[in-house]
Amino acid sequence: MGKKGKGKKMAQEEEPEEEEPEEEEQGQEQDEDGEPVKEAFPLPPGPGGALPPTPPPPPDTSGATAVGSSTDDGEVPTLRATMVVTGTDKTRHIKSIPYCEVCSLPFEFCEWNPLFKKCKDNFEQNWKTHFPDVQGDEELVQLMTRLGFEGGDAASKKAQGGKKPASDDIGTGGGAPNKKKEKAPAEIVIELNNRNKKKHITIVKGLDLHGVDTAAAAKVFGKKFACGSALKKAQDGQPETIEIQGNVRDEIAAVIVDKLKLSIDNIVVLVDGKKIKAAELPPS
Amino acid sequence: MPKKDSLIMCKCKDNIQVLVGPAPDNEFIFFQCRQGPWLPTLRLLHQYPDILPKFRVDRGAIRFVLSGANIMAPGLTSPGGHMDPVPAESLVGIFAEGKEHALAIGVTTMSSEQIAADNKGIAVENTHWLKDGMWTLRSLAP
Repeated sequence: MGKKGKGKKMAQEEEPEEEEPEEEEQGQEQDEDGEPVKEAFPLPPGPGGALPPTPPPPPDTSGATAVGSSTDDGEVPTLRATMVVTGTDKTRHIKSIPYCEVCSLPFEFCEWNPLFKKCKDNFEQNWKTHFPDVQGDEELVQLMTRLGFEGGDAASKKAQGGKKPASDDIGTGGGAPNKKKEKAPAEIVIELNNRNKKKHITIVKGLDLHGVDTAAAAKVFGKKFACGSALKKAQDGQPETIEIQGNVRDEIAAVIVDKLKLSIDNIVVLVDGKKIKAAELPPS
Repeated sequence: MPKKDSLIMCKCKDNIQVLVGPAPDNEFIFFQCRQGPWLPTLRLLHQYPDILPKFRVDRGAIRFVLSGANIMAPGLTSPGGHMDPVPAESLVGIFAEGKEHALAIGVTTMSSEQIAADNKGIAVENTHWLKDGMWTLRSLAP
């Protein structure tokens, strides 16, 4: 009895979800539930494991057929590879859906992950476990194309009208820092900000691009100038900076060269909005 | 025949109720916001793709939907889009052009005919999308 009671409860709970809780329907479904439940669950009895016992199919079917009768199965490419479809004519039931371990989405949505590169790497290593039926390189390439791993970049670029090339850079990962290393003279920018009108903050940008341990550098500056010095981690596209309390604009370049062993040629000081090379800074 | 396990109903913060599935996994199956309709979770919709009427958005809309934007009418009426005929305020699964699985679940603000006729403004309110809180939390921790 207990079980049946639950069955009814479930039917009632799911009803509002369909938004058309008419009494007739309820009656029907209770009938369905009251009858030997085999009808509702024509799934093979064996795999009681993961999720098959989910209750919704019977009531939902009625809703689906009532509301959305035309489905476009034909148009949507189906992943027959691993999907065991154990539906009846009532409701399609896909038993296992391969999800990406990195971004937790179905693989076809990996290309929208900001860390798409990681997803791709992971997929290339583990695709066999997710798509055991896929064999041979050709099928793999086909699969990857369909899931957006291959040629997806170009397609998505087209779709976005080249609006967000930045995201693609992130997506390809690793590429950006390499470029900067090749360019070598990434600037270390020193900037002076006002605080409370008469107090100052000196900001140093770009140290991280030179392979400097920025946290240690912040400490060095603090000791050297006997003041507060804090590392601000990169955030929302902002570069990593070190903030030093007080005006040390004219001395800091020398310290960077001295303590951090960096070339003075890479250091640039912002004076009145203009970039001046630290070496050419007029003595104050 | 798998035994029917008991279901758990969780009342959460912000007037959300979640119906939690049977034992070993305790995955969320349905949720409800305030007195609103009960919605299936996306994981459930992935397993039973036909339980909701389908809306399909074009490719350009995907990234907005994935960040939780409401679905605007042009995304559904453009060549890549598709709508099952539904009345206003009905639940729909949002699918995407060229993709097989649903990426969001929403409630329509207008009937599908109206969406096609107006072709502007919010067509579907996005209530549950991939990678939102409900998706990431996934199940009741044991």
